Amino acid sequence: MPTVIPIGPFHPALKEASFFKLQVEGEKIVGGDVKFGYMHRGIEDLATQKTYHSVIFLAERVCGICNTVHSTCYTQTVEALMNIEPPDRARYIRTIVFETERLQSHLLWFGVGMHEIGYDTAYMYMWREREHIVEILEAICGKRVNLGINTLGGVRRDITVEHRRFIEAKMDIIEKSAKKIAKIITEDRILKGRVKDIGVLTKDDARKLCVVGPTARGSGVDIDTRRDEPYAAYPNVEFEVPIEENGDILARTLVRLKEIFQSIGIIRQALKNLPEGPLSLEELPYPRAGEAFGRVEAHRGELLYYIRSNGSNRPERVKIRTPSVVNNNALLPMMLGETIADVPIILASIDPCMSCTDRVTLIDTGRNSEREILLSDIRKQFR
Amino acid sequence: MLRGIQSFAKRKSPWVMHLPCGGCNGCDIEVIAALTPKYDIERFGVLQKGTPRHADILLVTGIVTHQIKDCLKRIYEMAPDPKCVVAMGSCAIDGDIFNGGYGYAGPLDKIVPVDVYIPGCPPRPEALIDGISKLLKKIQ
Amino acid sequence: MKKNILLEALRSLANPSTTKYPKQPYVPTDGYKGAAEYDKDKCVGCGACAQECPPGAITYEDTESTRKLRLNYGLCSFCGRCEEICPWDAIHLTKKFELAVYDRKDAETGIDVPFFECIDCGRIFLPEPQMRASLERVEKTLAKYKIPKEDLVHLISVCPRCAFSVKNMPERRMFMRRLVEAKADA
Repeated sequence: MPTVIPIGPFHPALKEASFFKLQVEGEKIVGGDVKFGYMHRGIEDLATQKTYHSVIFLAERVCGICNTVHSTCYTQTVEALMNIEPPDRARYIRTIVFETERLQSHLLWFGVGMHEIGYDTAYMYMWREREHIVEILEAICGKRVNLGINTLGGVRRDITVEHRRFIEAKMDIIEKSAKKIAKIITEDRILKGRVKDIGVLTKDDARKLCVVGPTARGSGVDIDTRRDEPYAAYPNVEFEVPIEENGDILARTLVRLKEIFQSIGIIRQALKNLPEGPLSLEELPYPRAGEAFGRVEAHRGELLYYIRSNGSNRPERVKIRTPSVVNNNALLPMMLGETIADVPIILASIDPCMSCTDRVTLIDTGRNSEREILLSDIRKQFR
Repeated sequence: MLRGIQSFAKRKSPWVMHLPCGGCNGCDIEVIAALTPKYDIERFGVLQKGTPRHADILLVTGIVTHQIKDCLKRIYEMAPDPKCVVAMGSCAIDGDIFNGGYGYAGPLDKIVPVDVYIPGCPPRPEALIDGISKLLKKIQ
Repeated sequence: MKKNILLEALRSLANPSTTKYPKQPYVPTDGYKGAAEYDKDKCVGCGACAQECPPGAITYEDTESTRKLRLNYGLCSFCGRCEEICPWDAIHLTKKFELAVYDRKDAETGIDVPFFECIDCGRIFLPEPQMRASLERVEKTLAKYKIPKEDLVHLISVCPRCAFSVKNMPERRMFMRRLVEAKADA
């Protein structure tokens, strides 16, 4: 009879409220259950009560770490609905802010990952380097988190000549720090001992569970929305998509590390080729009745937005599918057979964002009631 | 005199427990940024603790959802007296942009008594330092 | 690894990365989105900010003689939409970020705008600064067609009910005819 250990909702290893029930025999994990829903705020329902412009700010506050991603995807989807194209300068500025935020998110992940292992020195170093990037965001957009750079038809702030010099100087500093981080991860024997061959997700499992983002690229699955379906200024910049074959935690870490170098390259190219022109469109048409669908490559994977309009100035239905919803499915196969001491780092290696996850509620229209579904119930029903 | 020593100790080393309820995590990032080298609130004696039994200050971020209301009340009762509650961010004060949705279960001060409110979306780490120093002045 | 740790420790001691915050105040960059404040000379009390604010933090309440606009920082998401939408450039996001308070009711700001009374019936229908600003804008158009402003003041300073009353309609029609003729001549 396995023992059940509850973790959460408030736990020092978790940065957000979520509940895990692990079944252990001795030290090895033999089964588990997750319960989300503590952060369910009813965003999709609120979005139908606000105008199109106000929903940009609502979509931004789905997740604080990836806020520009949500606002860019929503704006792109509404622009597809209205059949308009933002000017070129706006597309390049969106790309620069997007990639700067990706840098910030990966460095944040490195710091939190090191903290879960117990390597607090590296945690403090990485967050110190992360402050350089946040200074760039504050100089361009005026805030550190929840940036508010997008508007329907373009962007709200400009990148001036002083900003460019500032960003280029910071990129040199970040590149030096990234090389130091690469040395720490690839050469430290103790660190490798904790992350190598632990939490393995095979390529078949990754395809079957439909994981996305660095979790998939660390297991050998070659998907990236920036290359497969380019948006914003990505058709005009060159970059590579890093893939690793092993599927363990070290592979996912290396994918994120290589993505940092690629992002620095993209930002430099976009700054060099920044075209002149207006920042946003002057007139906007009324949204016509219809549907639109948009996707971007968020820091954790592929993000989808679906919007349906009925011709008024409020959206009729907004559906958000975040990458963390799919990546959380991969947790259980990764944890089976590992010891309980490895659970925090395995949890952190898929970069979970619980505030992105709580979109799901099942509404039973027959009995007119709502009920929560545990992941194990879904698995029993749909396997 | 013993009371003087006690109040000196309370002012010089307040230990914090961070309770992230259902927000967007922007305020949580700023709390962690306040603990890391650039803004370093550890130089004021503030330590982050994982259990409410060791905590003097409960730092709540994010809106209170229906599911997390009971956990929050239980943790508040577990923390030993004297304790203070700091509501960080506009979400904890009045719900920010989520006000009016079905997931919003009311402002924080309907559930636990609050001592200091720090508006912002999210408030800077320096605003958090300012809020904690105002709280310490109030305790005095 | 030992050598690197010593080097890093010495480097951090020589060049500390911690800001000296409470002793040395922090001034944010230009364009920082801090607390919003009204400009008392420019606000006309139109309420455009209240209509646009995404979280609904700006509300207004009309009493018999004033319109009270209130901005609640507890609901404000510091997005800057009010500054973008204001047609009179009367609300700005300042650089203030130290807003901690002990009581929730202290975290707000606002402005009181007096109402203008109809010169015929005495009822209120428009905030006074908006009336003044509208008169100034109309004055410029009239000066183009060389019509003196005094001919129009009475027509504008009455409430909508009195403007279309039997007493004022003939004067209104004659003024419109004068305007059309002046435009045709120009």
